Amino acid sequence: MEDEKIIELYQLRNEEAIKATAEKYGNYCSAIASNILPFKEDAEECVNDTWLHAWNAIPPHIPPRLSLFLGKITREVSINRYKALSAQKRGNGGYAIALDELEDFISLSNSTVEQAIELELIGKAISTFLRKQPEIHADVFIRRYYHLCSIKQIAEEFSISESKTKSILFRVRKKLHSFLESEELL
Amino acid sequence: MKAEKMIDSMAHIDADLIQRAESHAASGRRRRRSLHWMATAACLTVALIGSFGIAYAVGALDGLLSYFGGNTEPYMEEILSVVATASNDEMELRIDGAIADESSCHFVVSFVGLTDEMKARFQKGDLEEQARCDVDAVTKAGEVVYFPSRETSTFTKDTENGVKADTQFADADMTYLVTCTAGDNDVFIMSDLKAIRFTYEGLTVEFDPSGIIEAERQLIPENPETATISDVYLSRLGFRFTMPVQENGVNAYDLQLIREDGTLWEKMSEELGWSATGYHSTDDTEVTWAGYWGGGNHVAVGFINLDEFIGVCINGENFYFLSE
Repeated sequence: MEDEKIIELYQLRNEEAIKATAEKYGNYCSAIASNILPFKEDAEECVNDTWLHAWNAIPPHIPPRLSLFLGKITREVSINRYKALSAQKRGNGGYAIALDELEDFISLSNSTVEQAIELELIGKAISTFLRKQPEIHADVFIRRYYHLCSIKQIAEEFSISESKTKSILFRVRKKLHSFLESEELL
Repeated sequence: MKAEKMIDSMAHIDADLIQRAESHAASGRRRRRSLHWMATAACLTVALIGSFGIAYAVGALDGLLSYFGGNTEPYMEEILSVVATASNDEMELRIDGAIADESSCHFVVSFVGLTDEMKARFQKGDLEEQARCDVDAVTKAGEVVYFPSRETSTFTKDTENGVKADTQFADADMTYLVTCTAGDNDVFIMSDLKAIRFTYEGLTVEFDPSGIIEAERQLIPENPETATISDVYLSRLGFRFTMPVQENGVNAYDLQLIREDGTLWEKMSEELGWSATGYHSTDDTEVTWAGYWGGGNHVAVGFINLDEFIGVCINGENFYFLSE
């Protein structure tokens, strides 16, 4: 079903909207949740929560790109779930591993970056930075730190070796660190 | 905890970047599935052809290096990622490699005759064959678009006859280097495309350019108040800028890259060379030049390392990369 039709169903408060969304974007959202959470059942719950969030948000919100809108919700819900699980000390997902990698390079000061508006500012600065990078470098970075995909998965997707993937990520992280410093965001 | 905020801030990056990464990854997965199938087929045939397959792969790389000049080797994975073939009873068309930036796409296409007649025709390689070729593209929205400018070159050692192909590939009868230019970017840029199609007498071979597009970097004028040239971009493959149409109708320009030590690359036109096409704005007050390196004194595309330069001088006006 076309995205416009699905959104129309949401606007009409027709519950078929959720069924159609799950059919079309179930695998996509499951992949995002599974990258973050170590247990399948947690990922499934987050995907179901995504449909609920979408139901509550549309209307009034009309997402210009439904897939990205749903992906963003799944990511956020899954990360929140991960944080809750971490508090209970349950396992390690891709999120934890990605955190470890970034810890060496990015050290945001709690005193200067605390609020959501600041996160948004950094997000926009990262976009500016990524636009100046070779496309494949930017895409690998996004697959790793937005979608939280594994190194192995990214290497397969981009037809490059795992060592080259790690090398790209290392170089981009290093350059990003300098860029954020020059923008006085670190 | 601090890195956690970093990952949280990634939620705010621009949607088009996320979508591009997803498309790139998805096309890689599709390509991988097809490569798996090809690998299985290759296993079945390798026992028959023995070392011939290895010799062909080496030959293909050597051939590509003839067309894509400069320091191309680091990009070979990208260049080779578009390899595609199409065939009918008479011939096979093969995309041997391609590279692009937002303005131009260069690809090497080989022709293999499957009948004696076609083989002889391709090996003769006269100008009529170029006229029988057609190139178009399909945008991600499904619209068919045409390149305002296209050049086709055959590699040859015989400079008096620049048409006859000196085939670079072990089993090809004729090989072309094709350059398509997207124009002034008002209509489309290479990132908008999901397929570039090369057609010869009804047979079409196509490839997805999304994984081979080299990033462009914008440059800012040294003196913004007096600059007459705008929208200056450089990539490893070429350049793009817009200048006012001159009163005498001559839109000549002089272009030299600025090295890291601040000196100009004065012999650039001889040592690197470039080809460019100018596109006038609809009100005819501006002309946008889109060009690619190489082609100045040899039939090959040139690559440059952007890290070796800090800017470009066009008609005496200096433009510099934004510092990162």
